Amino acid sequence: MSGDVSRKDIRMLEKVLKKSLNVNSIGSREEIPSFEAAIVNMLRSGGPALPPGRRVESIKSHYMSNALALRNKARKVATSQARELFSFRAHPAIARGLVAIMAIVILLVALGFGSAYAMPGNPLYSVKRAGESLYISLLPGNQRRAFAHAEFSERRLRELEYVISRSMERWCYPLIEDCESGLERSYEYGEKLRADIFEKVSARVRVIAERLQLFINQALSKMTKTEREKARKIMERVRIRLRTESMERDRHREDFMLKNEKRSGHVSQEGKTLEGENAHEGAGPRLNEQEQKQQQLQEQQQYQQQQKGQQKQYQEQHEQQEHKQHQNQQQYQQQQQGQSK
Amino acid sequence: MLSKKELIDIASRAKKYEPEALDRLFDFYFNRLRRYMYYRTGDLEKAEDLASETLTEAIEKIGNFKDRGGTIGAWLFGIARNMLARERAVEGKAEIVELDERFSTSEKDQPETIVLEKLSHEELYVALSRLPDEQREVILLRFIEGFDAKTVGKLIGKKAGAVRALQFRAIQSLKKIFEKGGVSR
Repeated sequence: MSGDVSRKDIRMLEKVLKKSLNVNSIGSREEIPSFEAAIVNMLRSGGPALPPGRRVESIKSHYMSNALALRNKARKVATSQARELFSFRAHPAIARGLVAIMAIVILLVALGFGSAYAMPGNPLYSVKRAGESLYISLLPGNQRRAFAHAEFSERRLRELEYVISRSMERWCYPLIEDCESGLERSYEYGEKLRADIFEKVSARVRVIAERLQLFINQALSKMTKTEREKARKIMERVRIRLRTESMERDRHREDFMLKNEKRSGHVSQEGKTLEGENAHEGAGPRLNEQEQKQQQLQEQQQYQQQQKGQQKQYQEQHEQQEHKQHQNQQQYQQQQQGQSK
Repeated sequence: MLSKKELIDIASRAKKYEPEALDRLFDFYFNRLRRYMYYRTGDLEKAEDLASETLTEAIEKIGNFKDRGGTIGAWLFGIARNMLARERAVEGKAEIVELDERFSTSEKDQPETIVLEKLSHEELYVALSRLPDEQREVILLRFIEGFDAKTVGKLIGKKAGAVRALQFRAIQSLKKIFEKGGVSR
């Protein structure tokens, strides 16, 4: 049987066994396939255990106390850093700038508040007036400007009342003049507005103008001759304004309506409806509407003419009354002179 | 072992000097640092001192630490390496380990696996001390402390590929040392 298994077969069998066992040679010392792997495994497990440390507890307590001391120190540093951030020493230039800005802001706010109630004669009164003119120049829109002028005219009235009560003669005429010009400007801006807003503006202006008339009468005796003459002219203008104000309002309303109609394209330049020319249907009622409007316009024109006539009459009567008063005064003076002689 | 998430949490709380986080940091890293220091110095007392100093320095500098995803371990071992370098500079000599009479030749008849099983920490230290410095560093950080090749590369200032090459050569050298059986007491 031994002759059946040749040396060649034995070698073959040995090779197969080697391969299946993954060893270099059967029966050798190297039974583990890779000694390197064993070394790596030994190292990965951390190697041989070290004897336990003798001073671990004391080291740990020392470490923890150090850590707590550092924590307290860090907190102190953080607090001081926060203080440094806002301190003048750390950022002197920024600090100076901030102080300057704050001072300016405080000064402006104080001036604003202080001058808001300043009356003529007060050193802050000029600041107040300058603030008012700056305020108006910065305001956007005609409506706001119209109401602002009316508001400031009311202030002038209050100031006028103040100066009359304290006999501050030199302030009377300038305040009257400023009040009147404020009213005029309020009216000018109001005329550029919508009819309903203009009515509000003109109503306010009317109230102020009526009060202005009263104050002018009270202040006349405290003015110089030239100032008195100018004040009378102002009063006259105010009177005319008050008389014509209702007519102006109506005229403004009409103008405004016509402008709107032109913009919307309902009325052509000849007064015919554009839509009526293009579209036959519905032309009848539109023409009727137009006729009605024309009638209304005619009526309003008649009313305005009547008003103008009445205004002229009022003016004439007023002039006659003033003339009579003047004559009476002259007679009275002559009589007194005669008596004294 | 702590997970990456836990490490991030501990690091962030340790930065605020929370006692519980600092306590966990000590418990987890002190023994590892001590072991590293031992295999670099061969002196248990010195290793303990150096590990303690490393952790103390770490808490002093923890405000500057920027966590990039559980990297506090690598940061601590970086401090440890620097501390060791300073220590050597102060001592004014390179670490030279000679096989003295304490470490006699081993029982050469035993297979290497049995040699590895019976290996003491002192014998491993002797074996490691026979390696070049870089190889020893790589073995300690890569296998004993378990950092990946990239982290070790950052710590020792080499690329990951160079670390792997050093590691291969170090293992080959250790194999030869153990095969010769010249490290056991």
